[in-house]
Amino acid sequence: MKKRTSRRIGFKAVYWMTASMILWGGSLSVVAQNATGPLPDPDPEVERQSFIVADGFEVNLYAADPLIAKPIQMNFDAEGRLWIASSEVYPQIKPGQEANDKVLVLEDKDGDGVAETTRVFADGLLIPTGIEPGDGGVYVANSTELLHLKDADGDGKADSRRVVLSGFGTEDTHHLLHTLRWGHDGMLYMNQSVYIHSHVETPHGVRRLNAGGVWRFRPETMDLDVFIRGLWNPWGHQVDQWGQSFLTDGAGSEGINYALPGGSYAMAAGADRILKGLNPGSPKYSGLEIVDGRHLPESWRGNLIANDFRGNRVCRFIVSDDGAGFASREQAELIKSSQVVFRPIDVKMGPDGAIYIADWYNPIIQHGEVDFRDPRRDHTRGRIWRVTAKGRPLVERPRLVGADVHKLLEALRAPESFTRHHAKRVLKERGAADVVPALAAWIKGLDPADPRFEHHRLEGLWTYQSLDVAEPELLGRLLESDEPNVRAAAVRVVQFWWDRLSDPLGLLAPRVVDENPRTRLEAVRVLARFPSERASALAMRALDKPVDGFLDYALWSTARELATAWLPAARAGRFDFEGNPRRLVFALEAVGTKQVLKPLLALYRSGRVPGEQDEAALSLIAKLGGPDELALILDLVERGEGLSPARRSALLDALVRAGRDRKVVPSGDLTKLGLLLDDPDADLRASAAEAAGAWKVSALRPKLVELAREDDAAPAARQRAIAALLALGDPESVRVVETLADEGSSPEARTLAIGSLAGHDPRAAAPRASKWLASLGPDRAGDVQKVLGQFLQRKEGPGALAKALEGAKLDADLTKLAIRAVQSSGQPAGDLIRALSEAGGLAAARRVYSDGEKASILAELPQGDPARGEAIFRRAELTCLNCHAIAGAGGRVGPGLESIGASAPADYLLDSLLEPNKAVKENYHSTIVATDDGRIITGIQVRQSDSELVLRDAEDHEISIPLDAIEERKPAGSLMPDGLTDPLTRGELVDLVRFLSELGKIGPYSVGQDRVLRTWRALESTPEAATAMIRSSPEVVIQNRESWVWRPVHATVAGLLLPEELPANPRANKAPPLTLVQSSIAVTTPGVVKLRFNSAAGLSFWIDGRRVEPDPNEPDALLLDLGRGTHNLFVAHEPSRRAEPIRCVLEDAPGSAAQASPVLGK
Amino acid sequence: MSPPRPILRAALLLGLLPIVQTLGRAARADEPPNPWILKSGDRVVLVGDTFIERDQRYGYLETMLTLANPDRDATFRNLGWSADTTRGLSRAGFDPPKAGFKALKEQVLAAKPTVLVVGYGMAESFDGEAGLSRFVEGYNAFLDAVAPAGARLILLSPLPHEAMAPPLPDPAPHNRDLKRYSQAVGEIARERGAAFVDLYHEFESLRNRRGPDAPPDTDNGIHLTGLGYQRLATLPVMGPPSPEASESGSERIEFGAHRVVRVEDSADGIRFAVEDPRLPAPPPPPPGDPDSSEAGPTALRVKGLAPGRYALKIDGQTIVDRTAEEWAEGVALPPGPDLERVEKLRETINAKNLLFFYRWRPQNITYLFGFRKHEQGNNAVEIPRFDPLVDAKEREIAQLRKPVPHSYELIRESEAAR
Repeated sequence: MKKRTSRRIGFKAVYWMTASMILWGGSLSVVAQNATGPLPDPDPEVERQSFIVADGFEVNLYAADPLIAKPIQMNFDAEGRLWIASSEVYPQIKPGQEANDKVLVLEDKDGDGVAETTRVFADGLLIPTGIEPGDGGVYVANSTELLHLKDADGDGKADSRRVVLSGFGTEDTHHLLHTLRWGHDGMLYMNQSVYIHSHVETPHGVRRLNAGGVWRFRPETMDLDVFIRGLWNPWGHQVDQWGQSFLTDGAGSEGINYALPGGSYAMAAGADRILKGLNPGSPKYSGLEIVDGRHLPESWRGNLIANDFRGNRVCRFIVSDDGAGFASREQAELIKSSQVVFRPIDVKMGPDGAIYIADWYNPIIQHGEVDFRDPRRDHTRGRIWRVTAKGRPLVERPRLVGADVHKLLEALRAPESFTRHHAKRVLKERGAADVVPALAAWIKGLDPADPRFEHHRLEGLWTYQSLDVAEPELLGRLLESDEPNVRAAAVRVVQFWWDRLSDPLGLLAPRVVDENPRTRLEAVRVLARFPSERASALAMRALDKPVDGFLDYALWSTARELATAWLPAARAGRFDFEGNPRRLVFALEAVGTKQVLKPLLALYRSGRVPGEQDEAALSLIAKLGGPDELALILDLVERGEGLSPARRSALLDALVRAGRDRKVVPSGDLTKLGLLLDDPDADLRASAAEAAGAWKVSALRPKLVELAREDDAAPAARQRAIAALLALGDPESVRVVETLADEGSSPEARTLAIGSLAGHDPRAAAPRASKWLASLGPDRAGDVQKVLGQFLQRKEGPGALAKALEGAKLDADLTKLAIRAVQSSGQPAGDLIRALSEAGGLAAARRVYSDGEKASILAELPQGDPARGEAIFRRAELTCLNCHAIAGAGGRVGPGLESIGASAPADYLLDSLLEPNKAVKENYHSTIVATDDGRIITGIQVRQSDSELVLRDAEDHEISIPLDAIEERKPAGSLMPDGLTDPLTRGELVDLVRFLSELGKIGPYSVGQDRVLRTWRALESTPEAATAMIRSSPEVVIQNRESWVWRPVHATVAGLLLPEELPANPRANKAPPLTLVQSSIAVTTPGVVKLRFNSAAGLSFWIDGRRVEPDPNEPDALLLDLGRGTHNLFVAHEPSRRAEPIRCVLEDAPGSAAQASPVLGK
Repeated sequence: MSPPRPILRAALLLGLLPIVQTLGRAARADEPPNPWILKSGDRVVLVGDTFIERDQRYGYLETMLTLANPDRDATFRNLGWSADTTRGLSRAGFDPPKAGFKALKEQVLAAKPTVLVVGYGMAESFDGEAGLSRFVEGYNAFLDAVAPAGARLILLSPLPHEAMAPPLPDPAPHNRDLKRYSQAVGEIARERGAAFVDLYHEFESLRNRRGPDAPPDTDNGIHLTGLGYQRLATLPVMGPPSPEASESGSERIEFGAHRVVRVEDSADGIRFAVEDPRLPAPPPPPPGDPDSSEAGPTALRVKGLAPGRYALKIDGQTIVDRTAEEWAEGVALPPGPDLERVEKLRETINAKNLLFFYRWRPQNITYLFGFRKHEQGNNAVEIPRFDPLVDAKEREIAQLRKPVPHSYELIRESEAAR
């Protein structure tokens, strides 16, 4: 309460300042920028007092400014000294400024938890973003270079500076080479982020990495490779006790990422397929540590700690096995703070078993959206916090540097990974000659009865690997270990000793079909590195065992990477994966280039494609085939044997795409399509109509005309028939469409015809469209949007329509909706908007807020009501959730907003609402593409491979565009329409900004760790649904769920489904109306899961159409035994009997191994 | 600093650290003109892969060329980029790889070269024999693309891969390729009438001549250290011929390759001036620290002094005192003011190159000039503000590159004072 008061005073002070500055004519923009409120007292104790710390823990200050400024990465050395890379120059060096960033060394000699010395080890650096002590000095990522700094004369300052590697990109200074980390294997791992393009010469060749990824480097051999690719900004990497790597992403939204060797993640350059993170819908995280050791309570050991630097939180996760990969669950935070300046950026276990956190201390977190020279940027402060468990003894700090080899080897058995890690480092620096004999003896002397025996042996193996000395005998034993994690780790070592092993393929053969899925995955990935027919044959054997998503990815990648070794032989008919068609089909599909057609068709013709792969095989043939192959597919579609109408329609669509994207048309007689135009299935009819147009089958014109004129035909089929007539292009066909577009035909036909004409010849269509628009009211906004969409997709479309609108008179409300549709297309169509405004008699000017008005809105924020603001945010007409998700629920066109309030200043939020293009959130720039067939496509780039670009459009659909078809592409601004907030009153605007500014801050508007079911669909109250409800039961509706219209509904920030937002469906005989909602959960490891409701009172439940009852012992929870896959939950209730909102949380059932997560999205 | 000490005549005869290595190397009539002789107003642009880029850190090459052309008003721009190829592969940024070639061409032309020093081949050599024809094609395409600049071309071959102790790789297979790529560059130069410097051959023979204990040129086999760049810069083929060694002007004085003039006996000793046409070459950096350097001694012999003890004053400052016998034997002198000046020059060149680097390869280009410039493009105005800072450093360089005359005096100390 007290804090609240002081905030109010703070805002008053700003208000007063604003007023006085206006009086003396000061800069208003400065006022606006500072309107977030006064910064807190920089006293570290004041900051510490703001921490809400997990039960049983406390925080003390280890070190602070002025001795350290802007820490970026930190790492301990084997002596327990803390090394810090710090930058005051960030984000951008000024002309005349000296690059004088520093490497600092902090030391707590007496072990009281407070550093008493802080030394400058090196200066003169330019935005150093990574640091890792080792090899007698320290490695520093210094913009374009990886340096090794050494202090030869022992005066505590670096006196030599060696360039180890150079050529790292600097396109963005918070993406520079960073997160340096010694691996368990003696190699230096280093990360870079999405805007970076690196080009590095090594004695082994040139290595290039565009966009993000993790490098892996062995300094003494100069071997450099790429461990994984992608991620937006992977500012955290840590390796668990079994050698598995995990990453966090400071700009992605999927929490903890499991690093599958050689995998590609979001934004990987040129990737055809990417892996997802383990916590979709998460905020962004920086830094990662796996905490362990005797100082921490048992339940914390092995937990992952990462920093939500936007939300001022230090977060905690538990990761557990999920098939070949992992699942991750967020837990309650370690620390959260109400101070926006608390920016935890890195986290490390210390030598005493405590957790250390680097605090970048800054009200501004980065420089994409906020000006480089924003005066609020802090350049001088920084803190290191130390977190300890209350009342638990610290760990005795290990003495490793002077220790003899035997003692160092014994340290490999320590419970603390800090000790094991640094012991291995010291052993490595001692060198193989000193260490290897003692190491062999130590491993021999290990006690097999020790419960950690297998792990100790693994540490021994890794010590050999660190020393780069092969020890095949030990490796052979660990590959046969009873501990599956050890087998998996040992498999990875095979890759690095390949040339030093007598039969590495023989070693891997049993592991490819190991009973443990992760071991299989590791083996499959190692084989990808050594192309040969035998390696290829071996790898695909893993398909005979269960294949989950992670393994599928591993096998898919490996099949592609080994293609040079097996595909030529497969094409020549010499190689067929040991006579196993399933493996061959899988591998061919994985490669998916033209090269695979020949063997795939051979398999297909001989009838050897297994049933479950049939679909993929056919799609691939349709995607790649030449005229004869396409004719084969067309024949199948026409005969229809064993294929569902949906499947036939999809294949036909694929054939049409082949024509559009590759200009390939099936050979042979195409008039056979005519039979399909008579098919009772509407989708198949539609596809056939499109094909007839695309392939210009003039003989089918009469049938197309018939369909185009058929008022009872399904709209989709009819629309494609109309488009097909235009595609045929002869005067007679065009005239048929023009007639349909004129007054006198049915409204549906007219809409379809005008839309099609617009897409075909916008100039000809524009006068008709103008006339048509003038005849409509706001109830036809949906139709208008469709037609406008057609105009917007053509280069000359908006201009032609704008011209035709001159002198027209449109309904004002319809015009408003039409303008919004144009704006949300993301295309610059100013002429069209002006023409529409004029025709609709609207004031041309948008609501414009002056700087003074903005300042006063910001000053009123303390009086804003976030609850009202949330209701405004959820209004359907504002369409916020169409594009923005909160904790994963909502659209993915715009950034997720779950922590926007904690990360973005209020002035930025207000500006983004009023002028979406002023500061576009990182990674949310749209791209405009013009294709060679005259289309214009706008969207956010999802990914780009060597052959196609995938955009997400404003409707949240992914659109793939062949690169060859792109004539021009340009970056564009935000897809957020201008003027969305125009209808809001000033008070509503205040409430809305207040709500957004609370998101992610401590309080009711932070999303928490519960796995809430947030994305729902509600049965829309339509006449059809009403009829069904009247005639039958909810159960029948559920079982035919695809027949009805379901409206997306998203839980509130607190996770509630609000009764007033849910439709009620009437029923027969005045029975009370029913509300029916649906959500889904994805199960990746089968077993029992629990769904707990705030209250089950009045609710009925179905899972996958089967009625289920709450658990007798827990009346508000469902216990469900579920197999792998996605399951649909339905909940029905009578609104009259339950007014309480619904909240449902997915929980672990005691003793169950199941892994499941709510399905999120729109 | 250790005190200067007399050194043996034998050492003198061997020519301890001769400042200029190319004594008397005059151009013959049938040889092409030395490409390193610059003209006033020359803009020397260096372009290539890591080999060219990293010289900026040490500056030896540019320092040496600056010193060798002291009275020419030439400026230098280093456009090297790590792992770059003649197709500009490292310069494509966010664009498709082929856009790198356009970037390369535009960067070179924007620098307005009158002399273009090209150092490509190391990055491309990893493509092996199979990539050779592509390299030649790319090299020619690059030279065609920058031909509008009309620059005099100096093509450098890649360096050989130096043999390092295991676990670094055996360079033999790579060297077979590097040799092919070097020869290819030589042929391109011949076809185009461009100057060619066969660094592959030069370093191969340098390394063959070197004793086993001498420190290597590289620390990874392919990239020069500071010492390596100093060796490169002082290769005879990397500069214009030195001025003819001048007579010392007096039978009595030997002073390395310094030009000794106006020798006069004075009442209590001897007086002369040193007026070198050039400053000395930068000395090699001391081991372990490529960033600073330490000079070796130069010997001064003065014969025929009357017995006694003589103090040497350079420009009025007492440096050392020795007996007449010791002066006749030769006294090794600490680095003099000229070497300090050379080091100052090298530091200034490095500072200039760093400022130029901030100018042409600024950080955050994504926001300043790229697809997010609508956010931070307003700050792009800062970048041209590096230009006057570069100019200021160039004015300093223009002063520092010129040698200054020094007065030397040997003055007999008063016996009474001893």
